[in-house]
Amino acid sequence: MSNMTANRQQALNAAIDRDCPICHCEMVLPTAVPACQHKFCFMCLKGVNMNHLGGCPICRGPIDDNIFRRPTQQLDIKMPVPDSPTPSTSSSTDREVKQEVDEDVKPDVDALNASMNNPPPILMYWLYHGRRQGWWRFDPRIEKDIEEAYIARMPVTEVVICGQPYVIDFSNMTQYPKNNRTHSRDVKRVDAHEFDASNVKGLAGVFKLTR
Amino acid sequence: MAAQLPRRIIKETQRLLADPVPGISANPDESNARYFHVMIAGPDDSPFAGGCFKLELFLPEEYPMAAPKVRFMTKIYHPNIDKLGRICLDILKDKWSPALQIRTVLLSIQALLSAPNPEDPLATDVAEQWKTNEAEAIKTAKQWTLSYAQA
Repeated sequence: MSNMTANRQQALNAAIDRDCPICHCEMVLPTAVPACQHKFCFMCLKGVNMNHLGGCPICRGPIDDNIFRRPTQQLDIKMPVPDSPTPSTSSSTDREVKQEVDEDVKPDVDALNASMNNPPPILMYWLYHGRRQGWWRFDPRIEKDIEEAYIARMPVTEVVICGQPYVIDFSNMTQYPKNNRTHSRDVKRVDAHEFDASNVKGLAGVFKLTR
Repeated sequence: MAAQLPRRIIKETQRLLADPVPGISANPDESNARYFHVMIAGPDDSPFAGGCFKLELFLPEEYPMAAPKVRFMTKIYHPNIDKLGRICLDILKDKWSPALQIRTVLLSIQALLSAPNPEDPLATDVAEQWKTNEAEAIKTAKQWTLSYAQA
């Protein structure tokens, strides 16, 4: 095996450990099936359960329903989108700036002026109202899709959550299943300050652990 | 109104194009990224050798929580594929898993061409022929390959 191939294989293996076998992206809220320990994003695994797809997607072993009952995780409720593929309005901008500082690059005067005239966009979060009460943050990857559609001034957009298509209606700031308009809930777009004031209960159905 | 294409579909498509499976090609339609034009070469060890079979593959909105829909466009004499090109394959139905993907589905269909299974038929007349007179069935399959499955 040549070096190139070995390196490529290594990179592939690393990606396999990090990526969810369902969405093929870096895992958000990694969750292991208790019986077999195969890992997936929490939302992806919940989708498997909700769609009755018959057990673990890798080995078809049983999935204990209890992991979806009142899940809690030590989580960074303001976590950015992992492995964001395209630079976007949000956290990736911050990361680029930091890199420049680390590498001790001379300040690019033009770029600085440009950024003074066009300040980097403020990080925004998308929340949905829980079935009972309180606000929840969307899965950061879905949040990013919503924000992009919002910035593009689309009147509505569609997202797939747990394998179910939903519509986000920006004029009414609501979300409903695509096939059932009556099951509508409120959504809101908040900055970090308002996020803190909203007493967000968790992320995509996972409660944040409280002291 | 259209939803964004899920990253998984983008990644799968890129990999199918950059690193295709031997004997299989899958190309997304220009106007619909969920619709693929597929070609499968008949496996050498089968009565479909030398044939080039056209299929269509569609990724429903629920994909990967629901299986892709796949159909043969080329006429084929096979006990698990009916006149309309519908395929009897467990992973396309109740044995679907979201850890499977376009690549593995097409590999399974290629394998089905190598190993017809008349015990689980979709085309009952073909399956009957396959069970009672396999030599004759294989001969017909080769003839159909020559008549209908030439690129």
